[in-house]
Amino acid sequence: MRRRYSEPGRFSDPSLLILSSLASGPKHGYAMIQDIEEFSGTRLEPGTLYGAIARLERRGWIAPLEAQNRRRPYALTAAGGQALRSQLPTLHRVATTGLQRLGINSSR
Amino acid sequence: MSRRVWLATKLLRLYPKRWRERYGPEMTALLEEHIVRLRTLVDLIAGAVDARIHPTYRCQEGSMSRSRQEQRRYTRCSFCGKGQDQVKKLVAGPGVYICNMCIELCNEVLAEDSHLSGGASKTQGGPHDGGASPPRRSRRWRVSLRNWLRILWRSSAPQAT
Repeated sequence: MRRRYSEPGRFSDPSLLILSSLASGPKHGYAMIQDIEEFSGTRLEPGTLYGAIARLERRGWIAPLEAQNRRRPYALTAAGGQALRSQLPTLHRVATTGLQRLGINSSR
Repeated sequence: MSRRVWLATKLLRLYPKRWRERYGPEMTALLEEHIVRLRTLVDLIAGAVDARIHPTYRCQEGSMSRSRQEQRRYTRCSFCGKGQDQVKKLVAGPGVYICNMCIELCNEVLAEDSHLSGGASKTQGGPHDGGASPPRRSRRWRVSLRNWLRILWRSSAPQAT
């Protein structure tokens, strides 16, 4: 699936995408890119991905695990899980409101 | 390795050294698996700028050796080289630090300079001459001048690639 930057529907907060991806278990960079593309249609580039990984790591929301053959998996920390849990309902509310106001059934 | 992947791995050199030490190997591994497009290369350049702007990675480490980087975490006066625990106060500037003693010294030098301003102000060596300045100070002056030149050189020299 290939999407352009300007295409509507692209969701572009890499941090939230990474947290959502890691919610299903630890992943290394390439696995994250694939997983994120699959569930959101956004293909993160390595520069963006690692910029966000570094930020999340500094915040303590994700933690690096032992590298395997240069590829280092990252895991969601308890604080990261908490942050995701607090952000997602807000996002959901925003999406639902937007859809309702557009007259689109959100349970589509 | 395709030419684009090769170019992408070369672009990693734009990142600050501390960043590369931490994320370099895994990013290289990722780039080798990734479909590298023009967008990927632009994104890497943007990422490097972003990393350089961030205070965690920002400082002139590109031209420093590893041991100097380790020393760097321990803050020192950029002029006399005294560590943070050896001075009363360390004032931070953009990428430099100055201790209370060097500030005092600067004030003295400026005061002396304005004192001598009527005469030969071209005595670049500062208080080298005359009995007014003890030898200890003239040595420190030379050291601080050298440090200044080093800082100027570092900030003007292109990043080692």
